[in-house]
Amino acid sequence: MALSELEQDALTEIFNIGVGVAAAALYAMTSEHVPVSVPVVELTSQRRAKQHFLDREQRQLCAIRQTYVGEFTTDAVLMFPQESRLHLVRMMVGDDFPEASLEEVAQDAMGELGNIMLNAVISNLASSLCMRLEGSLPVVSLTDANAVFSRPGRDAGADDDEAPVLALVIDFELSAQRVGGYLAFLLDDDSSQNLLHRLATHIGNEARIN
Amino acid sequence: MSQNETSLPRKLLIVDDSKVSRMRIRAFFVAHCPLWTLQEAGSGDEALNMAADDKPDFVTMDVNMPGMSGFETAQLMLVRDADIRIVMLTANIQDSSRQVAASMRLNFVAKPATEASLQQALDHLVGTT
Repeated sequence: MALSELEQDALTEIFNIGVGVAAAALYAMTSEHVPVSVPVVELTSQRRAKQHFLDREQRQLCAIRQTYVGEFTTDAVLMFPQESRLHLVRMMVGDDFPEASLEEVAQDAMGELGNIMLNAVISNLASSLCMRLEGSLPVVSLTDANAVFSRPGRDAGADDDEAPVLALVIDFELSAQRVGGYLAFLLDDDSSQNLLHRLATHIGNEARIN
Repeated sequence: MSQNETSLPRKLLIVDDSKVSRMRIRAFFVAHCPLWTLQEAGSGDEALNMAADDKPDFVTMDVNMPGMSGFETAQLMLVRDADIRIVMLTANIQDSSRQVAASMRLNFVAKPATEASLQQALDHLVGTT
């Protein structure tokens, strides 16, 4: 199953707007201009999603993951290279914060950063598709792309490699600091179908308005 | 209430499970309301206990926290003290979340906690908006 051109266009637009809000939030927290890429939206297999991501980024990652549950379930993940983590935390807590205590608040700060950015994107998705998604609390981990692109609650085993996922990968960069990051939203097959059903209604409504 | 509230001794309870957010909120209120007494709670349960003991005038309340949600906590606080002024300060900016706040007649400010968003929260608390 692949996305139709119209579905691809509609999803890209919805996520584009949401990511714009998330970038504005990141700017508010760090005072850094944040250019973002146009989201790459693909209904693909877990293996291909992972490979697509690994082609861009092989470093260890700091990942902030939240699960949203409603008419569909999605694992939303914000990722930064691990080496950028303390730099981001410094931007959030300010120059006056003692260097020695930076690591103590790093987990908390990254969780809050993820919470704000992921909620910005998900809120726009929920508003656009007229639904409600309940989010879990953010979980911060030091990890790699293999683990990130595993289905929630399962090991990254071969059985799951061909499982379909709707993967949205978005690049952004804090321009002055050259800190890059990624957002990914992973949905399993059932959830992808439910999202597409909602999307069809949205596209129908848009067509009636225009 | 008026903007003069900012220069009177008042009590503010900051409720947020993020220490970094509490730090940012605290720093703002220390700078803008130097006579206010500030307290912090990291969960709804802790906030309710502190509110029962110290009777704050104002509360900034996160929504998504471990255990009790910010909305549940706010509701219980209002049952105990109808005069307490609470502003929801949250990353959960879905329409449904805004609607819950509106149905409870609570003001709603979107995170992140910045100078602009916290000024908005302060204006709501002291009744200038």
